[in-house]
Amino acid sequence: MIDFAIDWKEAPGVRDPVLARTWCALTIRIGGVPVTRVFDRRTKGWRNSVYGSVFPLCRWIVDTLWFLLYEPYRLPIPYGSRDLARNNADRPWVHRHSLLAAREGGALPDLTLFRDGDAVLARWLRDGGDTSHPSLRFVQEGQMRLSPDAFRDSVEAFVHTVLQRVADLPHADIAQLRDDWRDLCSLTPEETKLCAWSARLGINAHYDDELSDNAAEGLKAMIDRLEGRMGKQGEAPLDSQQE
Amino acid sequence: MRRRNPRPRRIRCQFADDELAQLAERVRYRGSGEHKSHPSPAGRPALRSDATPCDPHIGWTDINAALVEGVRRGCISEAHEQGFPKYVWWWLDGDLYEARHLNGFAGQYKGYRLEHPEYPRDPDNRLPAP
Repeated sequence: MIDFAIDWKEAPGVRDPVLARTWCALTIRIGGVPVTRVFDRRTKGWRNSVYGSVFPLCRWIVDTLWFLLYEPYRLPIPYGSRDLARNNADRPWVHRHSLLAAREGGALPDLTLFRDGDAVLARWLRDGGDTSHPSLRFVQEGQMRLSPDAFRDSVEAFVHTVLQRVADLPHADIAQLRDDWRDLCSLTPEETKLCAWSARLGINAHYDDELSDNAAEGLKAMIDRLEGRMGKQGEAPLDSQQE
Repeated sequence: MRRRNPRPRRIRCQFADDELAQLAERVRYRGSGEHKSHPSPAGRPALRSDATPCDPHIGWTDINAALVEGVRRGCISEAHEQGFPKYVWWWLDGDLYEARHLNGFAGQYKGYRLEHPEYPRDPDNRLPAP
């Protein structure tokens, strides 16, 4: 179980209205463990939450949800996101799976979320000496297998909470997030299948420069053939929780 | 299923050099309170924030110069806001910085240092080595 606990805060001095409205103390717990627990050198103390805007994280989650649910880790050794991202070839995977890619100047832990068999694996690492923040260190380390259904429910609750917070704020970023989320929640079973299979291949089906209409048609035909063969072998054609 | 808008954090420039030069003259680093742990032209720090703080040893004019150079070299996002690139990237003291447009303040940006996991996509290899 992953839980995003938000305690909204005032944001004096934050100029961007969307970031200001979504300023909060954020605590992410996985299986009860506060993965956002930090040691703050400024106060010389520990706390479970981080202060910042949750809008960039929400935007990132909506953009990468299919990858979090369906794309596996691809290397034989479990690297941390910071090490993995030093390699240009592996950085796109990090963009799709690591919360570090969603910070936009804020503070989030090195938490990666990816498919592992029948579960979503959450893996979080404590900060070493190579972090950009001079006074904050994330101190937790661990991993946990999560039910994909429960993971998706938690993410949905998080996105709804953020969208409610900005509901009366006219802003293009909010309109786009709302439209993308509404679209994601209203996909047909066939579209859902296409998004899931594309994500397994590291492709975001929502962007036509990653999956053109022609390529989408080709992939749909391939999915049908694969499902037919897998069905004949008596195997579940796709993971059970989505399709 | 609807197709989505351009990804904000990807370097893609569709301007000619002279257009970039004109755009570069109109951008300005303004800063924002969440990245300040010390008094600055962005105001006094008065916020509970864990945002990456600005290095107080890096001058305001240096950051502004990096922003202008990033625009001039076309290291800008394909996503725009109020007629300006939503994001601009450039090097400063060997580190990659991201400038983010401040909505409501046309042409004005805040900035923060990036780590490798946050580096933008750069399909056209516009960003030079540090």
